[in-house]
Amino acid sequence: MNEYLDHLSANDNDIYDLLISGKQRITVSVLRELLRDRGIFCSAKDEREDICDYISMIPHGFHDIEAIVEKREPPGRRDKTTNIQFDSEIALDDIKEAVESYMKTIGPNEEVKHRIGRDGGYVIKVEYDEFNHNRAKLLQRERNEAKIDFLVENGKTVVRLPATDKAKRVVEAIKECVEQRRKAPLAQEKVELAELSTPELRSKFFTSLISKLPGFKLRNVMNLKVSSLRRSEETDESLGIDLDTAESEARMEMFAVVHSMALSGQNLVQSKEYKELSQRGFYITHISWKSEQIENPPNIVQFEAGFEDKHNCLGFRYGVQGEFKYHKGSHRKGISPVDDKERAKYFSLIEQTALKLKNELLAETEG
Amino acid sequence: MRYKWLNVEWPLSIAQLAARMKSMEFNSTQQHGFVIDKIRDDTLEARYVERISYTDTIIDPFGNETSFDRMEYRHSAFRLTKAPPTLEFINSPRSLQAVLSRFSEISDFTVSIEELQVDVLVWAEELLKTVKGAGVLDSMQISRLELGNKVFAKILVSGEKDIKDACAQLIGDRKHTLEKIRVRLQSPLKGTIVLSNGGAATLSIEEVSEHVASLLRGSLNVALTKGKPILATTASH
Repeated sequence: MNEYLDHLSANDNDIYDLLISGKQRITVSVLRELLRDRGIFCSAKDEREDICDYISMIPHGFHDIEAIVEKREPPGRRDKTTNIQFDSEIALDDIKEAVESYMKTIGPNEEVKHRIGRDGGYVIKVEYDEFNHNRAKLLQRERNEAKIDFLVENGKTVVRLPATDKAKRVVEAIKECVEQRRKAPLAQEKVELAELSTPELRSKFFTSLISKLPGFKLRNVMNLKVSSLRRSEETDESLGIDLDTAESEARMEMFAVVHSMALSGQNLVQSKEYKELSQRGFYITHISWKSEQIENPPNIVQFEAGFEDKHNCLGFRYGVQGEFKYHKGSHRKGISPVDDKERAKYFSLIEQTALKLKNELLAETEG
Repeated sequence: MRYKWLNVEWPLSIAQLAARMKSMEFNSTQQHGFVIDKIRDDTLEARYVERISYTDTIIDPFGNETSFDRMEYRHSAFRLTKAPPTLEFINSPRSLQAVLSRFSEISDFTVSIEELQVDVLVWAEELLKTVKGAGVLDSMQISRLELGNKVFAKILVSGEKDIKDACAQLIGDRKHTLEKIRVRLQSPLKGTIVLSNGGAATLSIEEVSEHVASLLRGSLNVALTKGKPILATTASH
């Protein structure tokens, strides 16, 4: 019995780990508040560790622990966003059916809510658990939410989803289901640059994206990640020589090679360093930049965009980090979050521009 | 009158740049763009203009809101030359990011722009040479003057006469960064010029003419080529 109890309930050590590891959120004042709720006062001179130790020794009910875990968890972190575009309009009924059939396959810890969106699309919210065994025992189960938007417009269906594996699996399952109902495969279009073979064209995708975003003018580039194509050439060459792989591997390790680099600063695309890197065959794989809205209000919006797979430029994902509001002749210093309606507008701007640029660049390589 | 010089490496010729700026010309329908004033073989004078429209909201003591639609123009006048210093801003706005980003765009992100690092003492002395000594250094701003044992001082030295010798005595062989120097000119160019180590000059002269600007440019160029070994020591800490 005792063995099982250890798995089913939290012991004092687990509670101590939970409290002590969350230095930023479980501050001394939060700890004192926890004690005060129980009618216990502690000295202002007590160290954080001592209070944690004390709290972990007193009896806890399920809700007590749940309250601590809730305090400990950071408020909804935002994943980057990605999108898939289908070349035909999917009827909302089809999506609904597909979601309902997907709901039959899910486990007990997953919850799916779905409804017709306010402006004609379809919204699916998936809540699910993810396990992370690196964390303290009581924090290993993470509750995540994925909001998947289906936007049906102009003969196309755009699916906007968080750039997580789970969300991708859900969309894949729904897509299969819709295909079965329609009895025809859905042609999908993604922003991928694997076919662009030169670093110049790959960088051009990003530089055009930041300069041609409609309604915005570029102000600043703060972060850049660059990669070089050279690595792939080396592996391609070594594929042919099977006899002395060991030797060639050893030789490869001996040279100092830079595959990728991250730069941060101001106006990076104008820096000599960037110029030099691009001349040496590095291309941009991730960028974060600020642009000023041309129309009223002239707020500065901070964006980011990049590829998950740096090497092949697959898995385009992007985000809106926030905005600097214009107030009485100048921009505010602090960044503030963008509301959901604006965010959706900015996302569709990035999506459309990125897709257009991809097609233009592909046409350029073929032509 | 403020001047600011930057070092730009253009991959394009002046004529090509002018052509690309024309494609982004500012007019009544455009919210931002370039206005070209003068094109020569080796120089280009132009402005980058932005129209900023915003809504100002005022709340009166009774909580009623009144909003006004307002409009502003931001001007960045600049001068491009083949010879160094390659980019000059005249009375630039506080942030140059907007216009510098446009430069990147018209050059397909191949331009590199960097701030100058000038030894202001050399610059000021060269400037005095060109006006044939009709002026003195009357103020200096020094920062990070090492007093020893990781203690630093920020000093503003000013005087009625030339302060160079007094400053040299004060500094001795300590590490320091010379940030700004004020040059007081006597007639015919009556007034003061503040030179700063980022390659900027603020002029308070009755009559600012192209002649003064060219004197500043000339002495800046000499300082940039001459001042390098001294810069190495100031940059080392």
